[in-house]
Formats: sequence, structure tokens, C-alpha cells
Amino acid sequence: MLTGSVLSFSSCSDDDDNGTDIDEQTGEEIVVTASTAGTGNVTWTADNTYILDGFVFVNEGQTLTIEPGTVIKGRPGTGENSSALIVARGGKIMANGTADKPIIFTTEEDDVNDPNDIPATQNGLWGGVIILGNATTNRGSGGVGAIEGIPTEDTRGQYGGTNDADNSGVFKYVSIRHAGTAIASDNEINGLTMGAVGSGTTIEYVEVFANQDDGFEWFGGTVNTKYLVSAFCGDDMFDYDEGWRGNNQFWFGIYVENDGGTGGEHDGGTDPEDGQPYAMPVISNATYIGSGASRTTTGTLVIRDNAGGKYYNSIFMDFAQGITIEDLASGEDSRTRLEAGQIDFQNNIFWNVSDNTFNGIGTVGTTTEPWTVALLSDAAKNNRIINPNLSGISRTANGGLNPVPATGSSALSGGAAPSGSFFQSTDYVGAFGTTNWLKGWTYLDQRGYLD
Amino acid sequence: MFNKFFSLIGLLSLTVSVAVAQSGIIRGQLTSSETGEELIGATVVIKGTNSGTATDLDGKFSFNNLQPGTYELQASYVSYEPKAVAGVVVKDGEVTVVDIRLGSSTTALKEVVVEARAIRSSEGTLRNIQRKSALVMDGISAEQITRSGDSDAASALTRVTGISVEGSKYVYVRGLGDRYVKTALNGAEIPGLDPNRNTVQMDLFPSNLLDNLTVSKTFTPDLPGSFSGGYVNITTKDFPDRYTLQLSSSVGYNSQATFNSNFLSSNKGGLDWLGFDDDTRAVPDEIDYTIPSESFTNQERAEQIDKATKAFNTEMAPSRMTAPVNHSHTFSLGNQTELFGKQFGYVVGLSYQRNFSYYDNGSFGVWKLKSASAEELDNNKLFSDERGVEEVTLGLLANFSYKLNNNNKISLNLMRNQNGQNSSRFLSGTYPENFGVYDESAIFESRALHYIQRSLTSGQLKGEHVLPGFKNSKVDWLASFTLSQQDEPDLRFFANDYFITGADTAYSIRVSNYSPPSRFFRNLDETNLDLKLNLETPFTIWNGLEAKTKFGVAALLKDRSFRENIYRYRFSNAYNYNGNVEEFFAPENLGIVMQPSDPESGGIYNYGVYLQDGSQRTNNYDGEESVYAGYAMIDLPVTEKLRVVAGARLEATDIYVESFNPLLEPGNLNQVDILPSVNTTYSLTEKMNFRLGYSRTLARPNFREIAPYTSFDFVGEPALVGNANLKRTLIDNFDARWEWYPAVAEYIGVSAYYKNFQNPIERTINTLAQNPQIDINNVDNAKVYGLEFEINKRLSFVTPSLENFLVGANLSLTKSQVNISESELALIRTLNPEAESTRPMFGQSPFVANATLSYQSEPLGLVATASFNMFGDRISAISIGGTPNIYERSRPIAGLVVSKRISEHFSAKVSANNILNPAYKHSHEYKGEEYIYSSYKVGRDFSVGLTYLIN
Repeated sequence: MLTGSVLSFSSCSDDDDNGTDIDEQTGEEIVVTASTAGTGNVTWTADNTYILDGFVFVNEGQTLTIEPGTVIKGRPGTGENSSALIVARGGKIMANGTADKPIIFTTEEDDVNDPNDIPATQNGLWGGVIILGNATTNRGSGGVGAIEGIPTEDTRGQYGGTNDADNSGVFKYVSIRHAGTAIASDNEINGLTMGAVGSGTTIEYVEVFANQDDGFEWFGGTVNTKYLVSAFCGDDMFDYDEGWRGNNQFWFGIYVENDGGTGGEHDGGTDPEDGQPYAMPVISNATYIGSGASRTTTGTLVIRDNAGGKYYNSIFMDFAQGITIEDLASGEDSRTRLEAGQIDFQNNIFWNVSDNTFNGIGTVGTTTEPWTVALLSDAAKNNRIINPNLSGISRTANGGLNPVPATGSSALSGGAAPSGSFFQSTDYVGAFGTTNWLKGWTYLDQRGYLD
Repeated sequence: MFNKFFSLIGLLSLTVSVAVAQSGIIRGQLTSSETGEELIGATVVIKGTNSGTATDLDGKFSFNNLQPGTYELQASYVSYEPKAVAGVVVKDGEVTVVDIRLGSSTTALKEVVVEARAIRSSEGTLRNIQRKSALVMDGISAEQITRSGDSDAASALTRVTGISVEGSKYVYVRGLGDRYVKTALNGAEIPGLDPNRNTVQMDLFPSNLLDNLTVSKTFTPDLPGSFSGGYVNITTKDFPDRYTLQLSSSVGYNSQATFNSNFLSSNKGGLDWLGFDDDTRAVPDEIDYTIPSESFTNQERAEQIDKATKAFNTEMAPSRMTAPVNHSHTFSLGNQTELFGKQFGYVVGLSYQRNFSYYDNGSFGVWKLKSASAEELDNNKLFSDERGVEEVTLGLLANFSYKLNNNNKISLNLMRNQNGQNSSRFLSGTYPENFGVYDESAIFESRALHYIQRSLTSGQLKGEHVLPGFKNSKVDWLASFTLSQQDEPDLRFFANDYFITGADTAYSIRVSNYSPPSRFFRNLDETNLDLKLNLETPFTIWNGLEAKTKFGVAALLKDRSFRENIYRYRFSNAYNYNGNVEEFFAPENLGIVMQPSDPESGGIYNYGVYLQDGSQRTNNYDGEESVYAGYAMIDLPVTEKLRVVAGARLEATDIYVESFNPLLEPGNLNQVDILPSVNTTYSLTEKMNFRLGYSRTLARPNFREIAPYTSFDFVGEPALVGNANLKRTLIDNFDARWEWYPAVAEYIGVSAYYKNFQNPIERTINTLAQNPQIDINNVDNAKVYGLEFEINKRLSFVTPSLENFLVGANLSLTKSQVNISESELALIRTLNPEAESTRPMFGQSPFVANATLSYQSEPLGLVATASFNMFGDRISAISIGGTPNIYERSRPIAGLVVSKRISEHFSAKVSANNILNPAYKHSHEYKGEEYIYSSYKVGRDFSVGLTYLIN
């Protein structure tokens, strides 16, 4: 147990371990304090634990390398007292973990060797991770924005540029836990926020577990992702804004029974809302498991503000509310994108979403959206309402979660990978074929959720 | 405070009883009929006796211990025609007041005014002040305030030409708000109470404590240089020439609040009725530590969280009650008497008001222009709005004046104003921005309980001296100390949403979409020390006329501290809201709900609903400001008709603001400015002036603006970010006015003005920010120009039978433009390519109009006044992007007041206010359609009152 006396060293501390009872953990606790100098070109090594104190930036021109197995902890606090790691435009993070040795971001309260010292789904204990890049957005102000929560006078908080191939580094086999504190009033931070991150960046095998706000959020940019996990977050599983255009495959999202926002919140522009380029990501092989029928406030997807987006080969299940594709009297809405062919749903499976009819899925509250119903129920699109027969669904740490389709499941066929070399060819629907890629590296596994 | 006040009353009643048991007294004042100035050192004798006296530094004289009878007074003064006033009747135990105006030897004899009752603060007096002033000035007298029935200085000021009042509190002069308006109490600067504003909230001053309100619209070097729109001076009651006692009480009925059993309220403290919180809303005493962040294993931290959570009350939602009648009571007492053989005058005043207001007819909407091609605005929030406000205002005033001799006078003014406002609000409606649907089955609800307590405590010591050995120069000095405080103890918010699906209603609090239940504690203290010393020396110039030089020095020292504590409720998923606020905070849900020893706890502390400290260091700051000034000016009658007042003022400013966050750069401004001023007055005729003026003035950022921290208001309002690098604004002011005083209390005037601002400080939209954010910046230029018209005239000119009718009307027309910053304009033009590069200044109305019609009959003891006030649409919020700005919409305010003397000492008053009951409306306009941001009606007010007056 790690109680009390945390050693406060600056990032270049000497070896002055005064014998704190840190069991199993070797090395030091190194406190990395927010500073205008940024982290510098530095490697954080697995033998130490790094404590984030404040908004710690990887400045432009700097590269932060994190060894596999390294644990980084954020100090508690809200607003100006919160802690987060922010990779500024032109900075790089090389967090290249492995399935055996994932890189863990968690709260200072968490002794990662004791999986039970924090309630599993406790959120909002520290900030989160923000990566900012130079790719394009559809913001009216020259495509540049200041990421939420960072004081606008700190220019390191800005994102957006003209280089869609921008490379912010590698973020692979990373688990982000218990994060999402309010870093400004009314402004919770996401587990992983990506602002204008370019397609040269690698984002794979990233888990956000119990975040108070969204699991993942994109603001513009072109980054592609694979193998993302959004587990038990307080708001949306996956959220995009400001014209993101990435390709994505193998996403898994799950909510607890009594919390959560919308499986996918997909927004277009802000000012103006018809800003170009439109958001146009392609998502294939996602599995979204909602809170179940009892939580009537949880919706599957909201697509609005001229956002586009295409879902292929995905499973949406256990959502009380269906899909909203915004229709505004002004006509500047996502229904217009749908009618322009920029929103698509193909080869997807819906189960226990609304009342298990396409009409119900296209109804939110008392309002039915015929354009949504027509798209989903178009026979040529091969969307099905059928039980995918996943091997096990559990929202508590009882070893009952196995989102792999059971033998004979309808989800094991009927898929067809979208075109493009990015996408791995599959014929199954959902994030899993026959292997559970959550095994080994996720907190879901460590904490005992998985079968 | 209270004990002191009551003992004071006791003391004064003693002196009263001494004062009344005497033989008769004659008192009066000698003034020049040309300039209205008091004549100092003039001689007044009683014919046929050897009783004679010289007038004092106020031009006043007094004959005491006269036997009852009829006397004749003779007054004389160098270069003035002597004058005799016969038939002055002196009665036992009474004071007869005789004011005499002397004309210069070259002009014809002027009338003598013998008044049975001393009318101070009359309109005639005020007009005289205005006429003889070296600068452009308007005002309102206590007499007019009484006639229009205004209860406080804020509503009284709306009657003055070119004045509008924002939110019933803040004065705008010629469309210029806050930053460009200076408020003073008896000539001394007083701090404002709102941390974001410069000027004081005028509703703090009950009207029965006022003598007059004047607004100087041009600058002379003897005034502080930091205004452009106007310098508002609140003059409190001065002591009367004789014993005066006034007691009055009234009860009021509001058509929406009074006796309404749905009145929205909340828990109250035992002293709420006096405008104080008795610590009912204080942070509980047990919480003498910072609540630690969550720990699930550390016993000490867990127990501190638990203890803090349980120590607070859990009343987080409004309750309902029946609102009683509104009522108000005033008392004032004044006299002059002798103390140690010298003349001693005093006035004490007490004022108390308790008002209840309520509406459930409000609406609140947030709208957005989403694209350049949109035909309409889209809705983001649409709520119904309900609010109940209970407001108590208490005012205490004591003014003492001691005349050491005819040439030396010292006065002390003490004032305390207290205001407590308990407001409870409930908003409910659709919230498509957050929920993705515009559907009546998805509802957001928000509650706010807000108690705000404001007080202003002021002590002023003043001296006036005439130096006979030095050409009768006048020296006056002032030392004024003011403490102003604003507390917002336990400001509470509780928001939730619910979804209806079939027969099922699902409630929740989504902290990712809006703030969790929270409690705020805010405290603002500001002290002002204002020191002034002036020397005015008259001398005769080449043309035989009297000129004056005036020199002075001044220091203004301000000190402010602002503190904020924030506590937020957090809760684990299992304890989410079920639709019942009380159950959410039920004792079994609070703090630690399972100990580690509990077999189901998982070996750690489990929390239900618990408190966390969300206070921010940057939201706590201290500020200091000093302004040292010196000036020289000359008042030169170049010819009989042309008067020039010219000079310059030097002001050295030092502002320093530091927040508790050491990483933030302190705000700092150091500057020395020279402010020239020339005002000329040309007397076209004896009763007609033409004025021209130029002056340079400045505007400084306030503490909040120069403190570089980010603060938030509520219900989705943008963040406000200060700027440590602000510069002060320089303003060139040009003024012209034609004015005519046809008869006593009559006035007709036309003014024109133009102002050019360098580096004006404006609120600008930050176009980079993801969430709405407003920055404070110097923009390069702004301009204001306008015209004002005013008429106050008896209707006898129409037909003599209308002699008793007096009509008053004023109209001001203003146009302003501020440059919009380049980045903001670029963003606006992506949505509205036609958008102009300037906009009107915040809060500036294109017109402000007032009209009153009064009927006065002295024999009947009847005064009836109908009044009307209206301002033109003005910007009340700058919108982000191309969404049209929000305007506060014009609304007509009409009232009627009738008072009637019913016996020698009693009079009755009946009033009806807000007769038209218009909506208080703020809205956007886009393509001819109106989109309501907020709208509500406050109801009609009726009151009856009784006044007992000894004069």
C-alpha cells in the first residue's frame, strides 16, 4: 500500500530514497511538475513511477518516450489543481507499450499492484491525456483552436494546422484509468483527447476505463485508430467534433448499468456548424454495449451539426434509446449529410436497442426520424436486428464479460470490410471474431471482469 | 451597529426638546440673483434694533431669541443693491426662514423670497446649482423624487436626462456604462460592490436619505479624471434651518407576489428581515480544514470527507411560502441648535424596506446561428423560468455640522446601507444541445438558491474655511473612508434531468453535461480612502469682474480582497438522483456509506453522496490602487457674458492585483496622465446660456479586469478571462449645450456631444476557445456622439388656469461604435459575410426618454404626478460567432403618485407603479424574427402610505 509520504522530487531528482514502504515497486516516485519548459526530450522508465502535478506538457520539438510497463499517476484536484499530460503541437509521445507490459495512466491514489484499493468504476480522480497536432479541422478561426480546459493564454494548448499527415508519435498498449476530473468549470476532460492529430500518428490498443467524461474524443484531424476500449465511462464512449476523418477498426465500448451518455456522440462544426471539411470517419467492427433497457436515458448514437460518418460491421446492443440524426429547420444538420450519402450504416447488428424495431431505433423520446429509419431498414444495407449471442456480458467484476460471439452466432458472418488498405479484411460483425483481444493488457482483465 | 444607532437617536431627542422651547428665530441665506452664488460676509440687520450680523461661509445668517412680532430685515453687500424685506413674522418657538437674493447695482431690483416653510432640495435650488455650474450638469432633487415616488437612487436617476439604469442598479450616462461613470457620495469616491464593476449599485441608497442627485457630464479639473459619461454625486440630506421630523410608513401590493402561496423561497436566517445573514448560511464551524480529495483507504481523509458532508445543511432546492405585503418605513429628524455656544446642525435618517417579488411567467432560451445560409436560429436550450426574491434594504444616515464661527465649518457624515436579497429560482425545459433531442420527454431542471448581502459603511469628515486675510479665499477639505462588502454565503445550485419513456420517468444528474450540485461562498471587501484639499481664491480682473483660481490635491487609495470557496457534491453511480432532492441528500446517503470492515465494502471506504473542495486559488485575489492627483484651474469672466473655466489635472495611477496562484502574472498598471479641460459659458441673456467644452479624461481597468484569472457565471454563461496587460483608456470629450431658465423651476436645454476613445477596454470573444470565453482587451478605437433635449415647464403658458401643471420631458439620442477585433470579425463573417466591422457599445441605448406631468396645489395640499420612462434597445450580451447579439428590449415604465395633505402634520400617499407591466425581455433578432433569450414580467405595484411631518 502506498499511503502518505509521497516523495516530492523535481523531474531530475537524485537517488534519495528514504525508505518509503513501496512494495513491489522498485525505483522512485518522480514528481513531474507543470512548467513552461515542458518535459524536455526524456525517457520515462518502467522502474520509476511518474507523478503528474499540474498540466504537464511535452512542448513543441520535444519527445517524451515512455518505456513499456511504466506507471504514470495524476495528482487529484479539479480545475487549476488538476493534473494531465498534454502533448503539444509539434511535440511527440513515444508510448510504445506491449501486451505484456502496457503503459498505465492512473490516479495517485491507485496502487496498481493492488487492484482493489479503489472502487472499480470510480471516475474523475485526475485529468487525462491530451494529444494535439497540426492536421486540419473545420473551425472557423483558421482551423486553429485552443483545447478545452487549458487556459487560452497558454499557446501550447492550441491545435490545428495544415499537415494532415502530421505525426504525434505512437500511443500503443496504454490503459488510462479513473480519469476525467473537471479541468475547468463544467468541463470534464476525456480519457484520451485528440486535437487535430494527423494520420502519421499510431493509436492502437488503448483502453480508457471509468472516465468521468467521454472515453475518447477527437477534435478534427485525420488520425486512424485500432483496438480502442471505452469501458464504464460517465459520458460518451466515442465522441468526435470539428471534422475528424480517420479510419478505425475494432472498437469496444461498454457502460455500467446506471451511468453513461451516448455510445457515439458525433458532432460536426462549431462555428460555423457547416464548416469544412465535414467529419467523415469510417468505423468498422465496433461493439457498443449500452446500460440496458432500464437506463432509459442512454442513447446509441447522436449525429449532428453536419457531421458525417460511416459505421460498418458493428454491433449496437442494450441501449434504451436509438439513433438520432439531427434535423434542423435551418437545414444545416446531419440529415443533410445523410441525404448526401455521407452517413452510412452497413452490415450492422442491433439488439435490444429501443424496442428492437428499426422504427424504434429511429425514435428518440416521442420523435421518429423517418430518414434514419429508412437508412437503417434499407435491405441493401444489410443491417440486422438479431441477437449476436455474445459469449458473456457482465458489467461487474465477476469474470462474466466475454464479448466474443458464441459459436453459431449470427455475428460471425455477414460482415464485409470497407475498402482501403487500412482495414483488415473480416467477415464477422463486431469488434471480436474468435479471439478476445482485451486479454492480457487491459484493466478489464486485471480487475477481473473478463471471462 | 444597531446599539450605537439607537443610542444616537436617544441623544438627539434630548437636544430636540431643548431646541423647541425658545422664543422665535429668523434664519436665511443671501445669494446673488445673477449667479446664484451665496454671498459671504454680507450684512443683515433688523431695522429699528441694533441687531446685526454677517453672513457666514454659506451665505447664511441667523437671529436668535427674538420676541414674537413683525420685523423688517435689511441686507447689503459690496457692489450689490441693498434690499429691505418687511413683514417678517416671528412666532414663539418657531423658525422663520427668509432667503434674500441681491442684484448687482447695475441690474434692476429682484424679488425677495419669504417662505413660511424652508424648502430645501427643491427643484429651484437644483436648477440654480445647474445654472451657475461651470460645466454641463443635470440632476434630480428630493422634491422631484418624492413626486415620482421613487424608492431609491437608482429609480430616481432614470428621471434624469440621458440616464438609463441597467438591472435596477447600474447607471449609464449618455449610453456609457460602468467604466465611464463615476459615483460619489457627498463628493467622495465610494467603491462598488460587484467584483466585476466599477460603479456602486445605486439601489443601495434609499431616497428619503437623499437631498439631490447631480450628474456632471463634462469634466473640470477639480473632479476625478476617470469618467466620461458622467460623474454622479449623491448628496445626502443636510440639516434643515429648523426642527424637522418626518415619519412615514407604507404598505404595498404586487400583483404577482403579494399573497401568492406559490412564492419561491428557501431557508432563512433570523436576521434576514434586517438584511443580514446571521451565519445560517455560513460554512459550518466544524469545517476548519480543506476537504481532502477522495481516499478509499486513508481513514483520516475518509473521515474528514464524511464529517464535512454531514456538517452542511442539505436544503438544495427552493421551497414555497405565501408572500406577505411589501412595506417600507422611513424616519428622519433634523434641527439646528447651539452646542457650546456655536451653531450645530444635524440630521439623522433611517429607512427600511422589505419587498417580495415573484414571477413564474419567465422564459429562457439559448439560440445559435449555425451557418451563413440558415433561415433561422436553432435552439440549444429552452426553459421556463420561475423566481422569487425577498429583498430588505436598510439605510442609516447621520449628518452633523458644527460652525466654529462665520468662517469655519466642520461636518461629519456617517452612513450605513445594508441590503439583503434572498432569491430562489427554478428553470425547467428542453436542452437539445446536451441531450441531442428537442423533445418534451427529455427535460432539464436547474435550481439556484442565492443570498446576497451588500453593505456600504461610510464616514466622511469635511471642513470649509474662509480666509478673510487672504482675499476671502475658500479652503475645503475632505477625508472619507468607505468600507463596502458583498457576501454571497452558500450560493447553491442543483441541476438534473429526466426522460419520460412511456409511463416511466428516469431521473439523473449528468455531471459530464452540467455542473454537479454545488455550493459557493464568496466574499468581497473593499475600502476606499479619499482625501481632498481645495483652495479657491477670488480676485478682480481688468474688467472689474471677479475671477477665481482653484488649486487642489487629492489622493484615492483603494484596497480590495476577493475570496471564493467552492464545494461540489460527488456521488457514486449507485446514488444517482431519483427525482427527490431530499432523498438524494438523505442522511443514510451522505458521506461514508460503508466502512472497510463491512463485508460488502471490498475492504475500502465506500461513499454515497459526498463533498469535495473545488476552490481555485486563482479566484482569490487582492488588489491595491492608488491615484494621486493635483490640479490648477481658473474661472475667468472674460466679459460680462463670457465665462471660461480652464485648467488641467495630473493623475498618477498605480494598480496592482495579485491572485493566490503564484504562477499567474500579477496585473499591474503605472501611469501618469495630464488631463486638460476648457469649459466656456456664454450668457446669451440673463436666463439663457450657451456652453462649449473640451476635456480629456481617462478610464482605468478595474481589479477584476486586470487580474488574469478565469471566472465563470452560471447557466451556460461564457467564461470571463482577465488581462494583466491592459492599458488605460484616454477619452477626448467635446460638448455643447444651450440652456434656458424661463422661470423658477423651469428649464429648457439642448446638448450635443462627441467622444473619441483611444484603447477602450472592451469584452471580446476569444475565437480559439472551445467553450465560450470572453476576454478583456484594449480595442483600438470607439466613438460616441449624441443629442439631448430637456424641458421642464409650467403649463401656464398655454392658459393661466394650467398654472398648477408642470410638465417635464427629456430625450437623449446617442450613437456609438466600437471596432470589433480582427479575429472575431473573421469568425462573425464566416456566418454573416455582411457583418459590419463595428458594433454599438455594450449597454448603449439609441434613445432614453422620460416624461412627467405633475399637478401641484399648495392650498389643497395635493400633488399628483404621472411619469413615464423608456429606453431604446441596447446590447446586453455579445454573442459568439455570427449569432446576432442579444439586446435588452425597450419597455415602457409608467407610474402614478398622488399625495394629499390631510391635516397639519399628516399626509397620505397612494401610488401605482409599473402600470403597463411590460416584459423585461432580452432577445436576438434574425431575419425579422425574434428569439427570446430571457423574458419575464414583474407585476404591477400599488402602495398606500401615511406621513407625519413636523416642519
